[in-house]
Amino acid sequence: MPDTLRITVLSVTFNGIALLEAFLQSLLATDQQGIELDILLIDNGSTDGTVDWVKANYPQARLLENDENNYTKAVNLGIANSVGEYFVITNNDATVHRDWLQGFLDVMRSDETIGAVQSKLYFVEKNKINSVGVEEIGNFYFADIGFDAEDSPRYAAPCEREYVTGGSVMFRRSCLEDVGEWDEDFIMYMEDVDYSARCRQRGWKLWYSPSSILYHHYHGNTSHTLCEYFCTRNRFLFIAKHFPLQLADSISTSHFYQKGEIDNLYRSLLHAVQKMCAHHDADTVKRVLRQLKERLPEFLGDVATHMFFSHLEVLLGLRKIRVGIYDHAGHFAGGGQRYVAEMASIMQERYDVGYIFNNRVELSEYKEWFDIDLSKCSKKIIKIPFFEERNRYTADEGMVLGERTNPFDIISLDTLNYDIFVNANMLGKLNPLSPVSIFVCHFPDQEKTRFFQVDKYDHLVINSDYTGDWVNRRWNLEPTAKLYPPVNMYNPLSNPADKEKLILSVARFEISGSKKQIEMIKTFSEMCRRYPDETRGWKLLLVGGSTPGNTYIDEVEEVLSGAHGEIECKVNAAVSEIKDYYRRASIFWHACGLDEERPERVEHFGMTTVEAMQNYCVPIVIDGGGQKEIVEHGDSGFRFSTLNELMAFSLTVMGDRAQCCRMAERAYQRSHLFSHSVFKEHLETLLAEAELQLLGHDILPGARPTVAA
Amino acid sequence: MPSSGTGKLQYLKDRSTNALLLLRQGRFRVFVDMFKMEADLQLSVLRQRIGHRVNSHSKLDSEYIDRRKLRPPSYKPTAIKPAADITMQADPEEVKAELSKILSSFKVKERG
Repeated sequence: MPDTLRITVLSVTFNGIALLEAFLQSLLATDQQGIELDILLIDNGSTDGTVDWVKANYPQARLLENDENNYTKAVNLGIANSVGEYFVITNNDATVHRDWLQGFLDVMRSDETIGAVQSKLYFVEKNKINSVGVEEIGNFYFADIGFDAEDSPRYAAPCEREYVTGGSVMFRRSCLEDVGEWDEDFIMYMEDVDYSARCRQRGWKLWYSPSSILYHHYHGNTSHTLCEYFCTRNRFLFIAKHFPLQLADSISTSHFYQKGEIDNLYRSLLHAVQKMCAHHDADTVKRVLRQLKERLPEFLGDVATHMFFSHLEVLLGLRKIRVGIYDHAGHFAGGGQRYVAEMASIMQERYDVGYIFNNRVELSEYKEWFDIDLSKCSKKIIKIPFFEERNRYTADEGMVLGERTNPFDIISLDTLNYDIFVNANMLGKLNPLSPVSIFVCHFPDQEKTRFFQVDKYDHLVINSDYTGDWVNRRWNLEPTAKLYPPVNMYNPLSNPADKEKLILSVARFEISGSKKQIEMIKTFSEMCRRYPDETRGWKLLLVGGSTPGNTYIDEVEEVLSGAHGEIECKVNAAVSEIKDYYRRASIFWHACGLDEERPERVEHFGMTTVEAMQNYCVPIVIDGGGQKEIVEHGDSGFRFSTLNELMAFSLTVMGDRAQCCRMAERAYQRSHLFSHSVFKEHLETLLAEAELQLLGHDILPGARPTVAA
Repeated sequence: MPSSGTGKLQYLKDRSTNALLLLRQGRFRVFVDMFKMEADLQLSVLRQRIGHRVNSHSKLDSEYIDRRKLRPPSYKPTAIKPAADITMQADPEEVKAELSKILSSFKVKERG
């Protein structure tokens, strides 16, 4: 044995500047005869100036900064950077007795098989015992021996312990090297119990030394909940590692279960099983899984138990993540279907994506309708008896009011087959039972009625702030993500300097007239009548889809026949034609929502406005709905509230070519916010969150107590 | 196999044993503190259960209830970070087969 022993003393700090000085002073005042002391402080991200203070005042202490607020990780970092034959871990909300270090060594030297020695810890305020060791007090709960007791002769002699506290403990380096790294999944609390068990499994003895004394400021009430959370959580990790066959039986005595914290119970058990798989062979794992299968329904219920085992498959990396997308109107080629098909086309590259429909539809049809390839997705059709019996081709949730049971439960049950379930078309009465669920809301058409389930989803995705505002007003829910629809109508031939005197409107000719084509015709006619010089050579072109027998078209034609100026309607034009109109048009008009009181009759987003902007058209659009988010008034276009304003803003643009070009350029730049790449980026952020929820591990983001007591 | 009722009985027994021990040792101050903490805990559990029942629409909403999802969610100081790949000691294929077997035998029969 060398004459001088090198001992590294590690203390993990977090915002503990107020306590450090007393600790370091007492540490430097210890009896260091025959000892080469190495003080190592690891800071877990203090914001109180601890790092600078230590550097300025205690240059003899080495200071390392941990990149994560994880106590156990800091301990590993400390061990990796230690230099001595012995390694001490200690709290720093404490002071140590002069004989603290020698007290460890007295016992450590007595037996080469002693791997660790714990101090005698007193409460500094009360002069009572804090800890003279750690013991199990039943049901895998652990407590400090002597906690809060008066000191007595029975704590005066060194003795062997089953478990030691990490509050003040010396390890033999050979023990640390033999046992290996501390388990960082514990983050804090019970990591010392776990390490004690591992030391003993490897044949090392753990002892208590009464002559190594530390005076501890024990954590106060503020950290009680934090302590209880981690102890309850880590108890399962400990059992899974060391006593896996007791895991199922330990649930009833878990504080999570007893306090009704089923969400915490579910998650901590998942990670406990994951931990068990990392430490035990398949036979043990299978036995425990069977025990859990029998016991879990009692604690979690049938649904969450099924989910638990399915969740385990993906958590253990045994299969790809499954995504289920339900669209009760998926057999129609609408904007909502396109929106979700864009999501599916991105998701199919990473996940097993399956569509759920109520009616026959082939995914190859999506290629024809929207030019979106969903060839990696699967589909299934689930009929809903409630609507079948009523000969309804499309499920209309408005019909479900007085039923005793929810007709959509048949779909709910199927959501158990997925890890992430996407309710694509706002079917608000559908209860999601997958571990992660996403509700896509294009607009909250329905009021909150019976069987309302939207509040049960983890993520509520909106297509614009306008929709989000109404989600809040009608459902009193907060959206969690906004995904503007991806727009891709750019024509490479479009050039702001090469535009015609053409005003374009692209909108369906709705039977209800909600897109306001007649109002636009009347406005243009009035402009031409009042301002013949300014409007000379200009033309209004109204393009849009229509169904056969649409009576609104007749009304439009009647108004057209008596209108001034050159006005033309193009019904059901091909996409290539529309692209060419965008290329030629200088100005784009959009009036849907004008004089409307019902929010659903206002454009929730307004894709055609973005299409026009992508092709250097100056948008002059209604000041309402999603248009407010697209066009910045006076910068990338104009927003009007009355037809007189529409006229005035149009004349401004028509009369100033330079301003028209400038605005067209700004509109083009602005349109990039609504591109496919932005949509993809935002969707991937959402999916990353969903994946984290599904597969992530705990991390302590904020403040933690000064030390893990 | 103990039921949840048995578990609660055991919990009560444990608490009583601890309480008696404290009294026998004459540690009245600790006894009173522990009693207060336990009373607070039990009251909060009761409050949560009653609150959950009163606020829950689940019974009418759907026959299938996901008991994980509590509103408001339980106290949890942790956030989530991406998990590192785990190394399984157990043979993944065997675990996979066992999980498939469990899932295929599962009958979800929960009713509100």
